[in-house]
Amino acid sequence: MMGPGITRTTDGLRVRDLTVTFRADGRDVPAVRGLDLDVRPGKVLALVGESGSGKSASVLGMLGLLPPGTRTTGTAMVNGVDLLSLSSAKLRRRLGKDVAIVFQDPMTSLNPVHTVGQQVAEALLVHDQGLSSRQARARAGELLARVGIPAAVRRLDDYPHQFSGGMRQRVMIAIALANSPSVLVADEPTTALDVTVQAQILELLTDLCREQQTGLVLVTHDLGVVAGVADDVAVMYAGRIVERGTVDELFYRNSHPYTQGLLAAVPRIDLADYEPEPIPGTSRSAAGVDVGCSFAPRCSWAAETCLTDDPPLQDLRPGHGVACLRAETVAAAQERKSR
Amino acid sequence: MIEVSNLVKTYPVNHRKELTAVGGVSFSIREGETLALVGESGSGKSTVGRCLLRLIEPTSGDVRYRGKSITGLSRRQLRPLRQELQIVFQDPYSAIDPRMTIEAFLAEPMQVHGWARPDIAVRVTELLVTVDLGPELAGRYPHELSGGQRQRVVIARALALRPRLLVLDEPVAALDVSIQAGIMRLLSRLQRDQGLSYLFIAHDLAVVRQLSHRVAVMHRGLIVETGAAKDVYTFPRHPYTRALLSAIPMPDPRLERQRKRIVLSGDPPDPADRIEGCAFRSRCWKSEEDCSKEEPTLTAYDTPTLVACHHPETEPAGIGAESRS
Ligand SMILES: Nc1ncnc2c1ncn2[C@@H]1O[C@H](COP(=O)(O)OP(=O)(O)OP(=O)(O)O)[C@@H](O)[C@H]1O
Ligand SMILES: Nc1ncnc2c1ncn2[C@@H]1O[C@H](COP(=O)(O)OP(=O)(O)OP(=O)(O)O)[C@@H](O)[C@H]1O
Ligand code: SF4
Ligand SMILES: [Mg+2]
Ligand SMILES: [Mg+2]
Repeated sequence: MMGPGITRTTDGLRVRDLTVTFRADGRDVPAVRGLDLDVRPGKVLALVGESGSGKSASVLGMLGLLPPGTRTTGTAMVNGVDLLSLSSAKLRRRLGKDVAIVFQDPMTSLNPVHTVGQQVAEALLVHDQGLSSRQARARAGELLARVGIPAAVRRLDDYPHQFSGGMRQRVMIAIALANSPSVLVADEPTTALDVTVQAQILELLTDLCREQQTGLVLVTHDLGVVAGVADDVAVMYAGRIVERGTVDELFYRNSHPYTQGLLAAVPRIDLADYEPEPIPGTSRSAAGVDVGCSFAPRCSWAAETCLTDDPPLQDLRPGHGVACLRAETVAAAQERKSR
Repeated sequence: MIEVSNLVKTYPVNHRKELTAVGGVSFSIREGETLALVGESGSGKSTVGRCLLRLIEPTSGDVRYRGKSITGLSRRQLRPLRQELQIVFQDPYSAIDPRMTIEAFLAEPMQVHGWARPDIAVRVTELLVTVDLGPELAGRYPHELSGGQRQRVVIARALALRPRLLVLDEPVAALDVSIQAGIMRLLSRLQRDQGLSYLFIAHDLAVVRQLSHRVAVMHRGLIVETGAAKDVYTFPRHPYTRALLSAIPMPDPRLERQRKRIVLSGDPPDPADRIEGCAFRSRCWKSEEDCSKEEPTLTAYDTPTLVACHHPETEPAGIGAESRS
């Protein structure tokens, strides 16, 4: 990790027309259908959507981390390099350095038979052959202290099972940020944690990323988390982005019926008599979408054309894209309601 | 209707140590009422829920249902009561045997209790309609249903024998938010129509707000604050309750930016460790010397909730209120 005050020159991450198609039981299972994303340096982009919408497939696809047999197309540019055009050996060398990832369950990503200190040091040594093992160990201690592990140096020789869930996630963050990547992808990093611990981890993640100008892609299904930490938001449904924009645009001027439905469904801790509204029907993945808008079967705005025409993601306002054939009508209704 | 007093459940961990999952918990639930039991992972919520139905045996303490103690009953004596007390678990995916049709799954408890076949058939249809599923689902298998539909089926089965109290152990935690809202509505309607009582277990105070009449906050096997829902949400006095409320993010960026969040430092203590005094003190910003000496017990102060804290907060600071000032 770089010290505070240091800035970097990077354009963040630029993803264009990403598609991911799994192979299962000899059939193609589309999961992501043409995704564009821009992650600004030092900013947080939240990728939200419900289970199966393709969030993990998108971020794993960009980093070439999907199982063999999966077809991934499109481009993902970081620091002038298209990650998707690299051989797997070259890609591995970029991982950790240009772009790094933190998963939901830190226990599965940490190696149970190595000490935490060894694992952090290893992350440093992979990208810096000039480092002696003693230097690496010292840096590992510093990194663990940076992510808020108390008595960090003393804990270098502990094993992952000796850490709590929240502490393990801190270790994962230390490893991911060890080489100051331009972009960090965090796939539901706090979903397995208690809310009080979630608050700590989110604060840590966003502070560190802002400080060292790392662009953060935060995958989550929690709109509260989005409101609290995101600069930009992309809402996914059935393998596509249905709405994207700055966090304020998304929360106060949302214009896609699905975004509106999601927001209305969130329970409110601050309102006593608020009754969250369900979205009728069940959510679906990209598999099984053939023609028309994938949200049409659940949409109260759906018109005849929604069943036949595919809505493109179009800017309703500069920087605020909506993939809905009736976006203008929906937006106008929203304006009236919020006035 | 149900009264729990001084419930204790301990587990042995490696020969010498003992883990106190529940360390002496008392509460009651009235007819038609929801008590929300909230707290972080490992605080003992599920253990309480299971002891209530005697799915696990409490180490000590008493559970009385309609005035009658059920802790001393034999399995056979317990059977008629089993109809009235039911439980719904979190995971709708593992709850239903994949080889069973929905109809068979719903019929099972009635068969066990010796219902006649035609009565069972009528009841199965009735149950599906009650939980807003079409009767045509009866012949399907669980893999043909979505998560939300499965949870409705699980709830339908819990209702089969016309229970009076449901223990709902995080019934919506595994579901998407757009589906959660529908299940919460269903539970709310069932309670209204049938006068059911709920023990609603959750780790998140937001989810249960809409349904709860009273709230009990658990921390490390003990209830640290309890009271009417409106009081717990608007004037929580235990620092842990405040931290729990404060940690829940709200779907409103402007409020979030203004909010002064309480971020706890440190980790929850190891459940097997013995702690003198207040178990929250290592993470508490209000702790003083007495907190490490004497264990606080639930106490009535000048505000409506009962609090187990030597230095309870004194200003009302409901969630949202703190951010709007
Ligand atoms: N290895 C795989 N083989 C086949 N299909 C897969 C595979 N992994 C994911 N899928 C499918 O791809 C779709 C998108 O899955 P993905 O894991 O990206 O969803 P997600 O948005 O991350 O959901 P969640 O919130 O549950 O993590 C789903 O329909 C899923 O079933
Ligand atoms: N069978 C068991 N043997 C030993 N310890 C147990 C057993 N069951 C539960 N515990 C321990 O008892 C404590 C309370 O567990 P419990 O499952 O009641 O917590 P909870 O509040 O329901 O947590 P969660 O939110 O994770 O479901 C935990 O420390 C747990 O590890
Ligand atoms: S395109 Fe039609 S169906 Fe899709 S979200 Fe917009 S109004 Fe609804
Ligand atoms: Mg995922
Ligand atoms: Mg539990």
